[in-house]
Amino acid sequence: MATIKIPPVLRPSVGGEKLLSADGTSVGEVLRELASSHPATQSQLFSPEGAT
Amino acid sequence: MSPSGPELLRQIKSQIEEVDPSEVNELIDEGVAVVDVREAEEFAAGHIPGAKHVPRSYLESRIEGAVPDRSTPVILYCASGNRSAYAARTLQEDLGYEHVRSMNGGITLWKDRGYEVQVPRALSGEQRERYSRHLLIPELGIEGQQKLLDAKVLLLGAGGLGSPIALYLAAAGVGTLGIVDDDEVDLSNLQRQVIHNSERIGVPKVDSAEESIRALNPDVKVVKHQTRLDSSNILEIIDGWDVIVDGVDNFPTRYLLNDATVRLKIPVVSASILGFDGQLSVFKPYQGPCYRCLFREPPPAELAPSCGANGVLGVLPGTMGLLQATEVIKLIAGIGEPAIGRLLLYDALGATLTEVKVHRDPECPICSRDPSEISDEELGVFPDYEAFCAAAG
Repeated sequence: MATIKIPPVLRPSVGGEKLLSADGTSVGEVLRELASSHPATQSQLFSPEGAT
Repeated sequence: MSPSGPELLRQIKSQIEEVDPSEVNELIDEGVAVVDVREAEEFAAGHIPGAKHVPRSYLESRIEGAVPDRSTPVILYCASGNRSAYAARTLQEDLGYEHVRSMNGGITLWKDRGYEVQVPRALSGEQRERYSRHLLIPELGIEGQQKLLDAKVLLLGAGGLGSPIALYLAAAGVGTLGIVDDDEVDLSNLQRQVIHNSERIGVPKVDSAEESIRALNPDVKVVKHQTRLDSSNILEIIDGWDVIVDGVDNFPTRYLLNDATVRLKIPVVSASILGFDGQLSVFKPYQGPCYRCLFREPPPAELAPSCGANGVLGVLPGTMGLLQATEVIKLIAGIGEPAIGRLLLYDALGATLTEVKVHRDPECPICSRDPSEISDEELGVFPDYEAFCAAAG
């Protein structure tokens, strides 16, 4: 389980949280898990093609 | 029976190691700390180049500031070699310095042998008084203060961050402060922009800031640019400054500034604030990452917090601005470890400071190349500001 520090500009997309936890064995997996549980971050973390 | 003064000196000298000026002259660039233990007036009249100054009367309390590592070989000197002998015994016996020597004959013999003496430019009586608390810090001292007085620091913005930075750098004696700001003082600024005041609402910020700086410290020369930085004027405005302090409030200027300062190899002390959060880093071109290594692309326009009025805790720019001012002084004086390659994240609500390591990006579009290869057309390549904010709605 990784802890993710959410910068101020992304906090509205995650319900105002500063810290979140997500599973994953790589940074990419953790970010995909984050986008999966907070879909509003999807377009900010990934390109339309899925690249970070 | 107690020994007489001369007897005590003989005893002390028999307990310490002495070194001839000729040997000191050969060791001077070999990792040896040369410490002058005379009084301030004697040091100011001329000293061995590169010597640190720790008066014998403050030896115990200040030597660690000048020579933190007790395994560093230390050579002490005074006028004739007597005071430095006593000081050497103190360092060796009481403070545990491992290899201490006293220079035989002091600076008098050093001069007689024809070795180089450095005479620092003298501070005026008023300057000695004004900067006395700096002069008492071994890491700064007269030489550090002279560096500050000789320094040219350009502040981008005389707003929230720029206000405390300008005031404290002026108080510290930074000799030339440039200020770039096209705005005028507004009532809503005064919750945080402490260099301005209620009587100056409507006055250009550069003029208001200059008035406060002059009232605080007449040593400081103020260079005003009442304009907005853009690609047509940036190279002309920033050229020739030693350090640039980024207190700008929008992304386009921040990227433009990065690209231009990498090309001119000028270090930038950067900070940003929003709400209760602040960030700070020092971008020293080609020694650490640049802003584009850290943030390759700006955030999407709709997320950019710079296009309209955003809330910020009034004291936050004070906190972050003074961290910036501290980094500026460190860069000028060449002391400490500037936040190069480190991003500091301050959370005022949580009272936490987090550090993130930042590496140079080998594929950075700007700093992975030689400065001469960065063309005018490439500076600040970024969506048009008006269009950028219009898109943000």
